[in-house]
Amino acid sequence: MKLFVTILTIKRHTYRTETYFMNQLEFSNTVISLQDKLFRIAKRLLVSSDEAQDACQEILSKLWEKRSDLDGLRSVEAYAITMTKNYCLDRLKLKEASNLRLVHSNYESASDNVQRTIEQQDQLDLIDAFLKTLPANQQLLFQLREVEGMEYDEIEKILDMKPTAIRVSLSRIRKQLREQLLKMNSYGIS
Amino acid sequence: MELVKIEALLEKYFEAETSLKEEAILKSFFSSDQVPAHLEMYRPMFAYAVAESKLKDQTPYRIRSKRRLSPFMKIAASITVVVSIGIFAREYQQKKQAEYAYQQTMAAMELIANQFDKAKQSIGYLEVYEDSKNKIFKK
Repeated sequence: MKLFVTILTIKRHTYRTETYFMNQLEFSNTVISLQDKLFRIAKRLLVSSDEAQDACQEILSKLWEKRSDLDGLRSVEAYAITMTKNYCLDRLKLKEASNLRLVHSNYESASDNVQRTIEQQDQLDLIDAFLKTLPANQQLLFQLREVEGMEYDEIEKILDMKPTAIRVSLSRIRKQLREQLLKMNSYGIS
Repeated sequence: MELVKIEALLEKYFEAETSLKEEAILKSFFSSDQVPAHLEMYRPMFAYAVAESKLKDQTPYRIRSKRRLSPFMKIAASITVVVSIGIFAREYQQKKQAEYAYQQTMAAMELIANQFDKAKQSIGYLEVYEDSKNKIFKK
């Protein structure tokens, strides 16, 4: 009887550590550390911080439910970002369908970044405004390369684009940005 | 970093031919205070990317785990359920049996009571007999 009980307790112990506790720890290490990145990507597309936060929570919950699938993936990061992208695009579509326009008034660029100095503010706002005029895919491309600093092969997978298309698109975005800044400079910052 | 090199990198940058490392060089150059006047206009492009990369999600995520029972607990739980059903079933049966016995006893008692009632009626005849006996044999 005593032996039986000890076997049971040992079994129970291994069960706990292998499939329950470790997964939670691993999940925190791999996925939760991506939270800020996913948030920034969601914010790039959804604009408002609140919505980006909601999206982020939703995606992390979904990832937690799918955690058993994550082990087999080559890049959890790419998977998570793709999920975020799809989620945000769905949200945007829903909004368009219900004729709800994006409210830009709740976009607080100033309070988001304390690092921004006042003289830079105008120019950074201009960049913000310019990026918002781009299609969602190009906004994402900008976010992934310029802000998150990701390699092209990862971006290709997430955006499902060919390498040349990415280069061309990115080059165009950068040149357009340069033009915007040139225009602003030539008019002078009054 | 020489200015010529930076200018060459910028050229490559706008053709999207720079590597991440080269872009990092540009970012750090344009965040320094050595940027000459004619390149000043590019500063916000890199400053924007750097500033955006510092955004953080303010709401911490907590795993909402649905606690799952271990197999051992599942077995224990099912055994408990089966045993308790068994106990209840037996108790129910015993109760039924007791009820049946009670009813049987009550029926038997009633039968006896009826017999007693009949007997009591017969006692009435006795009383009539006693009365008439007294009438006849007057003291």
